[in-house]
Amino acid sequence: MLTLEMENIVKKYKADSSVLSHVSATMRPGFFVLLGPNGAGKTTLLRIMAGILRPSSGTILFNGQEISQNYKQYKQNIGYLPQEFGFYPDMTGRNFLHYIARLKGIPASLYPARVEEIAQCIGVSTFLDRKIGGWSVGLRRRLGIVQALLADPDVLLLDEPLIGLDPEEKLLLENYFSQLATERIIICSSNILADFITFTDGVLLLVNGKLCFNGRIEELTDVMDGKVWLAEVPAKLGQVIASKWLVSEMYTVENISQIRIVSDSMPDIAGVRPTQPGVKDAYTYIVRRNDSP
Amino acid sequence: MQLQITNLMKIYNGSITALHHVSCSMGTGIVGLIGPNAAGKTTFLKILAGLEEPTAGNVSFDGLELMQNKQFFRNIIGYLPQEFGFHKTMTGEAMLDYIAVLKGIHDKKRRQHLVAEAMDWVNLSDTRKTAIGEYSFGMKRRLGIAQALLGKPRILILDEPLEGLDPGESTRLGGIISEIAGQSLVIISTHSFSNLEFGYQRLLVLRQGYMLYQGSQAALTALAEGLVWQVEADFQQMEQLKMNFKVVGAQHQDGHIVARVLAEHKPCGEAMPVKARLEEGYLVLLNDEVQR
Amino acid sequence: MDKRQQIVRDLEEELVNVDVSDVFDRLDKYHMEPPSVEATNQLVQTLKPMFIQQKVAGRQQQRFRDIVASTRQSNAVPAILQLIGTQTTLMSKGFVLLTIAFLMAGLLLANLFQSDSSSLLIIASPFLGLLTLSYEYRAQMYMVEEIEASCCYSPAQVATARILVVLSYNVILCTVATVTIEPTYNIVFWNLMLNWLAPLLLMLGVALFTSLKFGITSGCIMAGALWVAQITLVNGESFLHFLLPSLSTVFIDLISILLGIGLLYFSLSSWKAEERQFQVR
Repeated sequence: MLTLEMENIVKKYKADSSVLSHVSATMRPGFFVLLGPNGAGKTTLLRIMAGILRPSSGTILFNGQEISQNYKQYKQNIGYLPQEFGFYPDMTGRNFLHYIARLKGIPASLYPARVEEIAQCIGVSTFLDRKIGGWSVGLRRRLGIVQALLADPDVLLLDEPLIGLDPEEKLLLENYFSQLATERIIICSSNILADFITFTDGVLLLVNGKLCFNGRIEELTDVMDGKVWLAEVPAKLGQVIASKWLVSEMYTVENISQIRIVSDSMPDIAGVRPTQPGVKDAYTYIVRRNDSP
Repeated sequence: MQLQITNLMKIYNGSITALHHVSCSMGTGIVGLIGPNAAGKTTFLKILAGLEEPTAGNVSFDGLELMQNKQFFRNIIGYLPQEFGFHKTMTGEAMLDYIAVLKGIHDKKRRQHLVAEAMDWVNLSDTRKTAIGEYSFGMKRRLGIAQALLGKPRILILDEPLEGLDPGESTRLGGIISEIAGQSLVIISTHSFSNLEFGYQRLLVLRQGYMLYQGSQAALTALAEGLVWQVEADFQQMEQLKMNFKVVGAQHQDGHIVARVLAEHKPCGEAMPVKARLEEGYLVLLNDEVQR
Repeated sequence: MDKRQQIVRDLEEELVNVDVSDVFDRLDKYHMEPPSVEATNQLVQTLKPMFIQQKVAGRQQQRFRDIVASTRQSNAVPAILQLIGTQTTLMSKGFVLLTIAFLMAGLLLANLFQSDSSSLLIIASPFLGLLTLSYEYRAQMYMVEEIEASCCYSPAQVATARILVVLSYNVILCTVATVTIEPTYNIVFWNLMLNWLAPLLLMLGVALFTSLKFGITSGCIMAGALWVAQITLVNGESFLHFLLPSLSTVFIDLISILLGIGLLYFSLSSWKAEERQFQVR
């Protein structure tokens, strides 16, 4: 059974502050989203899971074996997309993918066809023979996803894979990942709550280096039952409310503000009523609760 | 306040048409511009911001034409491009001051006032003396918005302003934008439907230079009403569904898959109709246009 | 008639064959209605599940990674050679052309001005070392380091392979230059070889070591300073001559080479991209 376990992962750069503190989770095949505020440690966690950064303490076990015992063997089973990456100048997409395929140890007889196959699945094959310098942001991102998929890894760790993609392109990728996720562990970090929401099997919420939630989306919203309130007030009052209570959403149309307030108890605002919690409400609540280190 | 766009066309190098007869009108509030990549969204915004000239058509604001009143338009428009660069060693305040000069605000005192005001709006006042190199990503975005806000523009044009921000920063910025939209016209291009919880006054869908849709958020969502179904399927049924319908959601649950599909009629026996979401309306719109 | 000809061709028969014609004539007497739309649809519907089954079955065939594993075993090309191969593909044509042009121009000038071409080589080789240093950091410069780190080789291995490739190229280049200066394999030739190999290795070792401890800029500055010192102070001979004037040139060269290799080895074995690069954003 495919499992990836994180046991008490701690990462510190300075003696007194931790980027990651005691992150523990057991991942099984499925499609998971890693959420959290910028700076929460999502990228650091993904790097540690990819074996390219060593944790200060704690272990990662792949199928029961510690990856620190044989990083090389572990890395044969993972594909990783960094948050930012470049490419050697003058390389075409194909050259780049061939180079990476060889670095991943894929034999020369196999990688040209594989590169073509995956590039087609991800929708970049028509651009492969153009220099990467001329590719758009979205296409480069997708090139990164292709590179991660080349060796057919069991674990896919993708840092913000959907950046720069339009809704149709996102749908294509999400469908593809969902299909792969039946027998692989796929973890994507994302800043946009609505992305992946219809495709995700589970959510990992990282706040200030702590894993504050690990479960299904329904569980996330269940936690918030009875804690989300809706108020409709004049715009000026909206500002006041936002400064006193925790607001997960507020928009103003024609001087009336619709406000979603997250609170354990009912706020004393005229006309406020309880409402069905959503993912954003849960996110806002959990982030605020774990805000200070 | 009314911005009127009539038959806007943009052709590059004599043959590449970026915009085909785009017409629309907008007033105060937030207008969302969505569409596939390379649809012409950035070109459209750049023309409105006065950075590019249209090949044909005109843009007028309360009767005043863009082409004939360039200086006026420059004064009333604030623009935040997709990629906004700045020197790492400059402080936030210095950067805004520099841009204010570029915008033609020569009076030093007035500049100081405007810069302080803009930084205050985006909550960057306490870091105004810090070097931009030390700003977090969210702060840099807010600085970009501050620069667009200098002098309280009547029209604010933002190209993907929320990309890269986390949900908290996104909400905060959304609040700021919402507030400004009370008195100005704010045009935002975006890829993410979650940001559209702003309460968009109007949505514009652009694809390959054509304006496919202009109308309300609700009407766009309604395009998918009755066409979205939830199905519980096993692996083989999923393959079948994928061959016949567009799958817009799939979640693994205890060995089977809960799928969301777009279908004109009930896709199979166990399907349940569910409420449509905005992105599904968008997909239906694009699909219809393809078939046309 | 054409249809008949085509069929006949496929059958590798002759149309003149009486039996064949006979069969055709009989077949022509039969008429069939083309299938109705409903019938076609029904056929398609019946076939679809079979296609799906095929697709599913197809998917359940061997996963690519298993194919890779079995091919790898039967291939037996050692991993390290594959790694070196990848780094060779990275050598940009620009770099190669630049260095060749640089060296050739230098030799030509030396010839023109009747000056000692051998000393030119001694001066040029550390410069090549400096270029090699910048080449070593290409992955970092172009932000490819993270992706490379996620592949099967450790950053140290990739860095070593890269340096070996570029260094080999430098050595070949300089050897060719040496051969043109001194075509006979006598003691002068070998002396010359040592004379440029020593500063090259020493400079590279020092520069790499410094760059790892103190950053690329420091590495370049250190290397540049040593180079300038070598040219101006020691008149083209190895820098160590300055420190150890009593020893012979050959000895100094050998010490330089050993020192250089030692520094390189030490630097590469502690090449860790992570602490340098992956700082918290």
